[in-house]
Amino acid sequence: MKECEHFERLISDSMDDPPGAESKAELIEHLLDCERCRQFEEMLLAQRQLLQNLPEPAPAERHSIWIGDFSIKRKWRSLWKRRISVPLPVAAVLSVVMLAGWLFAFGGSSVEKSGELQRVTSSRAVEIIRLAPKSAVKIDNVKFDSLDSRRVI
Amino acid sequence: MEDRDRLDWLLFEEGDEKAFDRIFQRHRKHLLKYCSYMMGSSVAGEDVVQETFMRLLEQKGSLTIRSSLKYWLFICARNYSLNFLAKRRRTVESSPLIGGNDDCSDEMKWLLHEVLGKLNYDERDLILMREQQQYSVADMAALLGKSREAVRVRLFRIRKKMYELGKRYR
Repeated sequence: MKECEHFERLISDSMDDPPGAESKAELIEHLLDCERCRQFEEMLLAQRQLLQNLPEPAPAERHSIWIGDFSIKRKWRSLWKRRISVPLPVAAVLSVVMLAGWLFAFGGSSVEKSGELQRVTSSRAVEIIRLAPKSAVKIDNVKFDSLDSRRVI
Repeated sequence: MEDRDRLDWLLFEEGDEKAFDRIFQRHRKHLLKYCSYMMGSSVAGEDVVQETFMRLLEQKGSLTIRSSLKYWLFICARNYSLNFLAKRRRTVESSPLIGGNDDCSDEMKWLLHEVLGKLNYDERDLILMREQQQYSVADMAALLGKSREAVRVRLFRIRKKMYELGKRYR
């Protein structure tokens, strides 16, 4: 077995550089007796022949030889991972926070302003109620909230 | 071929665009075969070949061809392939057959794709360089910066691995 390993190495080396006369004779003698090493040599020669005559790769039509169409999918996947998957949700959260902040800062004052308007309107409504004959006021049109601010709707 | 390359490169540097096209046509097929089998995909192989020729275009005015343009292109394509594969850090697993070779049996074609597909990329690089590109051990040793003996040992181990892988499918 150990002897075979030595000859396997010799077979492989002889495929790269021609062996010396002595090594060659030794190898031939061994190959006559050893089925395993003969198989090894046959297989190596067959592999060499095949590698030297590899078929032409198919034209670039997104066709894969053995891995799959990774060049596009991987690129997009990595683009998704690096450039979109994190920044996009972060941007969405930030915009929601900014919108909420804007509403809190400016939306409150507009509510307040409209509240003032409502108060004026409601005070006028109260005045109308006060001045008008009781029978003429439709109470359904006036609403009162818990803070006694009256709003007309 | 080397003289024609040198002449075409000089013509290209003087402004003849067709000379570059001739260089491209002369070497594309050869490089594409190595790159496609190395990368495991003809699309990725095509990308690498294009990158290589883009690099060559950028060298206009700064590259002097003393030895061989073919060698320069091969080294460039090989480096691009290895960088890409190193970034990807993934081993090839399955290998459907592609046809086209009439010299070998279907069983052997399938076997080789299965075997070649199971090698990791530096093993595939060495065996393709030796068997498909037919670089000598001395050239490979110079390219890899290793001794001839070290290259022979690596080749022996790869061949042995291919043999063991091949035996399983017999």
